[in-house]
Amino acid sequence: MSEQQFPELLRELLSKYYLHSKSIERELYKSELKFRSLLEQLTDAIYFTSVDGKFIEFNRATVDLLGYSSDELRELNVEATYVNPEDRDKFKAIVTANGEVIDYELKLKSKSGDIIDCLVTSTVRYDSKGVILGYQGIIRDITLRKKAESLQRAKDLAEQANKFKAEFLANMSHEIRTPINAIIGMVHLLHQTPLSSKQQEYLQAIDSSADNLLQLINDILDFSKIEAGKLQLENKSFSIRKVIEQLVNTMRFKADEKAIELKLNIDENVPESVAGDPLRLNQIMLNLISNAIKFTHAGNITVTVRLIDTINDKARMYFNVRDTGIGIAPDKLNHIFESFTQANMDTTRIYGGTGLGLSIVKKLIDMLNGAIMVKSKPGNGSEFIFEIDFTITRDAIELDQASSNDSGIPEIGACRMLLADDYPINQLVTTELLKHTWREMIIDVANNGKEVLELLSKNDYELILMDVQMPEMNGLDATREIRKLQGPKAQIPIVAFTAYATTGEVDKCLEAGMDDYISKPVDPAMLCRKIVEQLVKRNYQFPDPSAPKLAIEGVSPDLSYLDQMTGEDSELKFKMINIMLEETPTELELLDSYCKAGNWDGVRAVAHKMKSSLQYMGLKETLELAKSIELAAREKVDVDQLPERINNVILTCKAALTSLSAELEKMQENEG
Amino acid sequence: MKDKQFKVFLVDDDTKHLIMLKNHLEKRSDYDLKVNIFSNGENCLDKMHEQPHVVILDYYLDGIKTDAANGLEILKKIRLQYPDTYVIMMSGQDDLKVAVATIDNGAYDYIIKGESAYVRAQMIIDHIIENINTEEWRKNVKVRENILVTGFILLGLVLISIALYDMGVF
Repeated sequence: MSEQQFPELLRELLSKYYLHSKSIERELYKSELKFRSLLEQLTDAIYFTSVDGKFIEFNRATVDLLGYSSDELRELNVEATYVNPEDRDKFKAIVTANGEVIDYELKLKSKSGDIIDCLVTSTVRYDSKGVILGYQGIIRDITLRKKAESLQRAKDLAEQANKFKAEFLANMSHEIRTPINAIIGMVHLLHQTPLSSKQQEYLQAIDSSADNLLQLINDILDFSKIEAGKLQLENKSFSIRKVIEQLVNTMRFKADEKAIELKLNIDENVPESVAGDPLRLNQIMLNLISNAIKFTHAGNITVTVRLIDTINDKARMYFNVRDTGIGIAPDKLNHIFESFTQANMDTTRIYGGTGLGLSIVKKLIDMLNGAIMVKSKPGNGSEFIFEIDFTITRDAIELDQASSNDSGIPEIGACRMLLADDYPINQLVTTELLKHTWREMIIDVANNGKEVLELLSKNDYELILMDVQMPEMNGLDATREIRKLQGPKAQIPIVAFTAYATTGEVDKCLEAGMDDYISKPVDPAMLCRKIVEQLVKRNYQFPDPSAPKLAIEGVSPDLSYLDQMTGEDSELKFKMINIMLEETPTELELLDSYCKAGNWDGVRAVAHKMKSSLQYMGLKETLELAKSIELAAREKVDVDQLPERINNVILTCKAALTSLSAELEKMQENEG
Repeated sequence: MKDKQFKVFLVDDDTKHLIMLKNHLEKRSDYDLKVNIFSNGENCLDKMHEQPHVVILDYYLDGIKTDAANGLEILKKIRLQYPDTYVIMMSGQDDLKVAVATIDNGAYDYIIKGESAYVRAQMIIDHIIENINTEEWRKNVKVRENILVTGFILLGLVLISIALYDMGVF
């Protein structure tokens, strides 16, 4: 190598170095560019700040997040972006102490003042000598996630509240139904004791009020049912006139209290018997009339029922409830049929109410394919008018009101039953109701499921009547235990008393192994029917119904008509009963002998004369029978059926007379 | 109002009805009523000479006495002998044809048996008695008027005779 070669080499080296350093610079620049674009593309904000709180460097996401321009941000003190500026010192202290902080929750504030929920991860920057230069970190915006979380929480809460509401409704209906059951049962029993007409009247008022209360609870349940489209309409024969008259009579007490006149106009043309849902019609009218009474302070309320038109067997009925009350403002008229709405927010405070009444009315009328409208002027009163179509029927209405004295209920003799109920009043009510129908029945009482099992192991029963809700061991558990037993006792029929109106309860009963259920408040006739049904299924040996003594045991007279006619005059009542006791046997003998002799004119005369006794004894069905006998004997038609009908009348009357003389003795004892 | 007693006859083969209606009328009427009861029309006719103001007659009367005449026959006999007596007929709901026949034969009114029958009977009787009273009052007024007029005529005659005497006619 020559000396001349060295500078060449050096130059070459230098130029290589130069090129190299250039490429390093370029590489460096490229690398920085790469990171920068990476930073810019990140959706999380990345920043460097100085110790005194200036933004030194930051990416695009930081600008977007905080809403300041880059220049504004560089001028800004970091503290200005904190919702609570003192948080900055706390944050600095934590970072400095630990060297880093991960996912620290902070509330920042954008330029427009929006609050941003953030997670901040940050570390401290030192220089080579270990002096703090500033801080660097990543900010993640979690506002949306927070919102979603709180939405979820709200949704959970709402769902839970809804569940609570359903449970509350079910529980409330149970809690209220139990005492109402007792009231209605007691009233029923009281009705069977001798009462003055005044007492009868008051008792009637208690009875209908209890019924209405029950109706109210059903209202609330109904509303939910209608909302869910689960309400079933009944279709049975009833008398519109009777439903409305009864309702207006019960409402009259309320109207009298406020000294409002309650007028009822039912047109003569209203068909006597129609098919439809009397309960719902009652519910609609009850709501409208009680609203009218509620919002009227003076004047009168007029209820009008008319037949508009009859097309084939369809009768279009017109109902109108007009009051002279406070009226409704024109702008509220459109809203009064909406749920939870009353004409004025003050209304709820002053007049109370659920605000459900009219909305149920509207929904029910819609379901009955009717239409309702309202006319009102504030201060002048309101008028609710609705029209519904009914199908005209010719059925006898009386059948619906068949009482527990119904001859359709067979005698069951000394049948032994177990009644399980934890509520003493209900124990009494049920026992008395049953004994009223079946005098020879033996009823044992258990207070809970455990007692049921104990008693069942000791004694033989034909049937168990079991309340579902009982302490210690409820009816469902007791039933499951019974079904697990060995031997025939496991098969004993069990009928549940349910106070829950929800159908879920019924399913639970049947799943647990119960045979049938009856819902509270207990309808005596229904209870008896269900018991007989179960006994028939188990091939219970009913006492021979042809044995006259037993066949007539179940008939007891209902003296309410007599009470009504004699008023407070017990002397007159005794006199009447004595006449009936004296005369009726002779009449029965005459009836029998005329019948056997084929003397239909004689039969006609006696049957005619007996009608008043039958009416006073309250034997409605027998009265109808006597009427038909009288008619047949007079017109000489269907005479071949007369002996059987007459025999029926004779049997019923004899039974009624036995009870009547017992009743007379009791009354005389009471009178002293 | 209770100063005068009015006599009412009830005829029905149903003792219970008789007692109830008698009780109702005697207690509830605005007037003092004396109510006699008969289980058949024949017995009632025997006592008609007592001249009751009102007779309430049931249509069917053969419930006890099988050959008893019916209300319509009794009505005809009463109207014949005592045309001034008010007769109210009573019957069951299904005998509307009978109602027309009884009104045609001079019954004052017709009551359908049933819950409101007693009240209706009482109202009709009260109305009849009002009529009787008004009628009597009118008669009294007439008599008084007649006495007054006669008095005035006599007075006039006396005055004229005095005047004539003074004038020396006599």
